[in-house]
Amino acid sequence: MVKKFNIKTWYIIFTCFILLVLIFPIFALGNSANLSFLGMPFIMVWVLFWIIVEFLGLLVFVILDKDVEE
Amino acid sequence: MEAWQIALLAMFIYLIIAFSIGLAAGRGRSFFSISEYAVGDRGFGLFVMWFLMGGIIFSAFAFLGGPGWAYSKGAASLYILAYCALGLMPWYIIGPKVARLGKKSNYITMGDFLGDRYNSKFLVIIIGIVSLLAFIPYLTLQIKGMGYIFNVLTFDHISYNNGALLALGVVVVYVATSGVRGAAWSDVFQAILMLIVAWVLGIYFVESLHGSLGNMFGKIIADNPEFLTIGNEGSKISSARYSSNIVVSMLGFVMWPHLFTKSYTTTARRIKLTVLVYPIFALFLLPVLFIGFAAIGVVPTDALGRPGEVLPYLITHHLTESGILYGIVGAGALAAAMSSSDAITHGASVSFGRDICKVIFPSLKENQELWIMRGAVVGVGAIAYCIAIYGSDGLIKLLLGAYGAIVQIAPAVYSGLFWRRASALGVTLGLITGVIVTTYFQYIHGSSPYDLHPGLIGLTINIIIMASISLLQKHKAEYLAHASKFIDE
Repeated sequence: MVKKFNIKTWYIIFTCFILLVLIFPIFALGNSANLSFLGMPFIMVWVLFWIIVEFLGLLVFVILDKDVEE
Repeated sequence: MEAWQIALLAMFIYLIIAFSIGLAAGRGRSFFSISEYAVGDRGFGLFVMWFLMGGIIFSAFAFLGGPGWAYSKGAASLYILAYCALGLMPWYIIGPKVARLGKKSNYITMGDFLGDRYNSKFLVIIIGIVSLLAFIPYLTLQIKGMGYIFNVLTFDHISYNNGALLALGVVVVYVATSGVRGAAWSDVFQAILMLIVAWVLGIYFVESLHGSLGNMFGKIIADNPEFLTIGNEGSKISSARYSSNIVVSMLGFVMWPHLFTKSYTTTARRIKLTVLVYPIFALFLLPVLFIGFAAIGVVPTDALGRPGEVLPYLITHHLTESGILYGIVGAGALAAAMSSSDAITHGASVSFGRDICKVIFPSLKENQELWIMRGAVVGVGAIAYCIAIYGSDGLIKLLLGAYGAIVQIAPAVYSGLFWRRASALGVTLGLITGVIVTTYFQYIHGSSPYDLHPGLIGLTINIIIMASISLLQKHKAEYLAHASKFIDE
């Protein structure tokens, strides 16, 4: 029970973190049109980068999450 | 054969395939079971879930509106990627809970769950009405997209009205007969087709019109560097609006009844695995934005009636040399609009049958209720079709407008699952006030404080009212015990 609570709490923290990096004020760090990776503007690379981080994070949660009730 | 004939042929072939898959999906299943029609007997596999949920975001909005936003609003269009990536994250927490509750108490709609939790029929009807009011403009949007694609790609040989009617007709028939399973399996096909088309087009237009991504963005920056940033002078959107759009869309996403009820179609583990792949779906949307950026400097602004027409313009002016590619693109664009339409008409029909008719006339038999749902597929389609033909509005405004109302359901759902003291009176009054405030700032006042999304202002007031009434009320022990069942699940 204690472990389940922990995973959920971490998940909520993780969700908020991904949300916060994608909205202002933190998003201001990525808010630049300078060309970077593959010729895309930095602002776009920023969004893509965090989406990939989100996927990897979710992957960890899905693996750690043991409550398979089927 | 001319390009438009190939396109027409491709679209017809596509329609026939989608139609057959949709119809075949329902074969061998009980035609007279509500559980089958509404939630596929709660047995959807992972593969279907992925494409069912994926197909829903690849809507006409993404396919026509996405390039339109990139073309006219620049960096603001990144909002689409952000909300798709974030939209399903809350489902990881609430989806499995709702799935277990649904299985235990045999729910098929959001109203079933909220009505049971808060013990209020009035709330169920309100939810039913709010959903229908949001579904209809959403569907209208898809129908407009379908008619427009048919009309433009066949160079006016098929009229807008007929094109829309044909595509919608196909959707209505397979949804009415095969229910959620028809929508799901045709979505698998539609989502795959759309993905391929989006990538081929995105890469093709960037390469053929600009040579490379760097070149393309370089030109845009040379012209107006702030076009690719947010909240600066020369940017097309303020930072408050951008951020609040994302927050509202994220909270509202799973509150769409047609998404929420998908919790009932599968198991907790599969829900989590569906959430996992959603960021990947968001990444798949990237080329859709490239299409819009590629049009900058190529498509003259005064050539378009609305920014949403930028993709069809590019296709008809810069893609006609290859007849086959042109045809496949037409089919892909149609698939995008249809894969959302089926989920929406299905969702609206179930809401209407269960949350409105069944609550007002509790003596309805399962059989009658099911026929009402099937009839509602036709009815909702007809209403949205009329609005699409006789009414008109900006493509995206419509969708965001509906989002503002849908997100107001969120406090009822979250507190229903996590807060024992939340009361029927509190959530109902909060919901109604939230919708009124949102509508006021959106349509009557015309602007909102700090340029925030009107839905966020409505939501704040909604939560304050919900929380204060729930706290002030005295709750009976039985009520709290009943509520605990939902929280401890």
